[in-house]
Formats: sequence, C-alpha cells, structure tokens
Amino acid sequence: MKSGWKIILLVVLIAILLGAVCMGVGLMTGADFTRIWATLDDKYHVDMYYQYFMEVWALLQTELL
Amino acid sequence: MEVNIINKQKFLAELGRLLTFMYEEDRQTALAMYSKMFDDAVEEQALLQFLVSPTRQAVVLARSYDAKERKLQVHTQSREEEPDYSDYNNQFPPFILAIDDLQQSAAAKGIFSPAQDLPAVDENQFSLFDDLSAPADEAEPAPVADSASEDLEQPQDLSPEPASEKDPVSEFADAVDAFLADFSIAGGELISSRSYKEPSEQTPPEEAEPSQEPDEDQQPFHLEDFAHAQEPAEEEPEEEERPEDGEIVSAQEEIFLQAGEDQAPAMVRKAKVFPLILYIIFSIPITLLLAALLLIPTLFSLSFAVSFVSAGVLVLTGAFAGFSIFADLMVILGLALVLLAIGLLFTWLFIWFIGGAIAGLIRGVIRLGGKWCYKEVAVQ
Repeated sequence: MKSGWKIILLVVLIAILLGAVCMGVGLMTGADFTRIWATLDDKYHVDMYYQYFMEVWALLQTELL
Repeated sequence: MEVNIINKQKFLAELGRLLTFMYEEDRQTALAMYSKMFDDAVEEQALLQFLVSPTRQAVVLARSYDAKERKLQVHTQSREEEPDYSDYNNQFPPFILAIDDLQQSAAAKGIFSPAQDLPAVDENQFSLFDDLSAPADEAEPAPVADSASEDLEQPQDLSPEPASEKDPVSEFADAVDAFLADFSIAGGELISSRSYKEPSEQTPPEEAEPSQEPDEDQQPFHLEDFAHAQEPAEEEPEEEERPEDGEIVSAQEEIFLQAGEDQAPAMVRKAKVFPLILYIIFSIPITLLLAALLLIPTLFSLSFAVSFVSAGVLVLTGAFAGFSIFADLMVILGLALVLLAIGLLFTWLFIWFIGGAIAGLIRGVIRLGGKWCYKEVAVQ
C-alpha cells in the first residue's frame, strides 16, 4: 500500500503539472473560456444540465431547510 | 584392488550414476570431460589409479558444485542447444574448474601423452578456460614424468608427494582418501562402515607426515566441509528431485533441529472462553459500526472518482469534437489531464479505504481478540 501511494501520487502530480502547463500555454496563446464554454455547450448541452441541477438544488434547499 | 579391474566404461557409468545430483547438462559436460581424459591418457590404468574411484570423483564434483547458483544458469541454458559456460559471472562453473585442475594435475604426472598440450580435452570446453586455471604452468613436465613412472609401478604412492611440493589438489586428494576410507559402495549408495578404521591404517600418507600438516587456516579445505559436500550422494536415492530444491540439509543440522524439537515443549493455543464470548459480543457491533463509518468516506471517494473520471473523459473527447483553435484545444487537454489525475487519486483513495482501512480494521480486531482471549499452554 505504501508503494502504491507513492506511485499514485507521483502519477497524479505529473499529470496535474502537465495539465497546468497545457492550460497555461493555451491561455497564453489566446484561449477564451467563453468560447470554450460555448463549444462544449453546443456539444454536451452543459448549460442546460447546469440550470437543471441549480433548480434541483434550490428546491432541496426550500424543502429541507 | 577394485580400481585395477575397472575400466573406462565402468568408471564413467558409475560416475554418471553418482552425479545425479547435478543438472543433466552439467552431468553430461562432466562425463564428457572425463571421457576425453580417458581418450587422451597414455595408459588407461594409470589414469584410473590417478582418479582412484568414481566415488571419489563424485565427491570432488559435489564439493565444487552449487546447485543453487547453477539453477538459474541451467534454466537459461536449457533453451539453447549447447550449454554456454562463458557467462557464469564471467567465469566457468566451479565443477569444470575442478575437473580442469584434476586434468592438469594428471598432465603434470605424465599420464597424458607428452606431445599433447595441456588442454587435453575438447577444445570447445577447455580452450576457453585455460586462462582461468592458473596452476597450468607451475609443474615442469620432465621431473614429474619420472615420478609418474614410479607411480605407475607403485600405485599406492600416487597421491602422496613431498610436503614441500604439495599443491592444494594433492592435499585435497589425500583428505578425500582419508574420508572415503570410512565408506563403501553397495548398490550405488555410499555406506558408512560401522567399524571406524583408524586413519593410520587407511591413509599411509597422513601417517607418514603427521607433523607436516599445515595449520587449519592454511588448509585448502576441511574434512567437515567435505562431509557436507558428500551428503548429496548419500541422500540421492531418497530424494530424486533434490537439485530442484536446491537445499542441502546436513545431518548435523537435522540433529540440531531434532534436539531443539525435543527440548522445546509443544505449545497449544487455548481459548479463554468467557473473555472470548465477551469480546465477540462487544467487538462485532463495534467493528460493524466503525466499518460503516469508514464506508462513508469510501463511498464519497468512489463517487468523486467516478465523477472526475467521467468529466475528464468527456472533456478529452470534447477536445477532438469541435475546437478549431489550438489555444482552446490546449486548455481543454490540460483540463482533461487535471480531471483525470484527480479522478485517479480518488479511485486510489477508494481502493485504500476498502483494502487498507476496512480490511485492516477487521484484521486488527481479529488479532486483538487472539491476543486477549487466547493463551499458550504447554502440552506434556
């Protein structure tokens, strides 16, 4: 288990570092989050799911609290 | 007297039967080297007298043979057609070097034809390790040849040499003679004679020069070590697969273990009934409660792992869907990597909760119960 923790943490750290580098390079070369969000929303309807979960959360809050 | 009536075929057959503790490849190699020695000998009887007996040669090989070290080597060689001894830690196996020393000693005694060079056996085998066998050029052929001719006339004087010129091989041969004097061969087995004969009767060389024996630290070997090496031949009929085991348990170790078993009383774990019942009554609910508490972070870890991995996969597939700008693609790929990394972390956390925390809790409760509720009682 101890060696497993070491390996997993090493892999996670490397992946996060690589991801951060990629995001940094993308942001420095002109990436735009609104454009990315719009593209993802066109494909996965992210905004619709987001609105749905927010409504459910608000309903739970009114019912439980 | 038995040596005089034996010939090459009988010698090799007996030797091959005694070398079953070796791997088949090594056994064939050793037999081939001995066969070559017979082929190159001027007089077969002279060589037979020099070798003394198959049992003695088997003991020599057993002493220099390490089945443990040869195991991996032989397994790797088994895929090849011919064994390659050159990669044995950049050296040859000790049993080959032992036969090489033996052959060079025989060559120094003039047993082989004078026109022949020292590598008397197959060049494929010997030409490779001539450099490794250092004592090759220590003996002058001419004076030793005279002594060899005397040895042929008087076979009993073969092994002893003047103490000043004794090499480790001849000293070893003398000690082997002394050791073998206590044994006899019957039905392919080495049997220790019940009536122990005095060394003076069996080994005239040692009697002739008792004061010239070197110190124990200077001796090339000890008889005790030799006795350990002899055991494979003794145990051979009982354990056919002993070379695979690779372990040699000496008789002294067996006696020591048996004595230890006799001295230590047998201990039996006996349950203390009332504490055990109480422990079971209390430990089961507490363990279940703790396991349920541990299940909460476990399930949270699982849900987070599933969520992050799913999100990462979605983002990763979305990166190849509709992004036409490279900067956006890099951001999406970086985001996917981060999400997958966090998902991997939560997955491992879930595995650790299940296999480490909860299983460790149960193991700890059982171990604690065994410690508190059991006692060891000596059985008479």
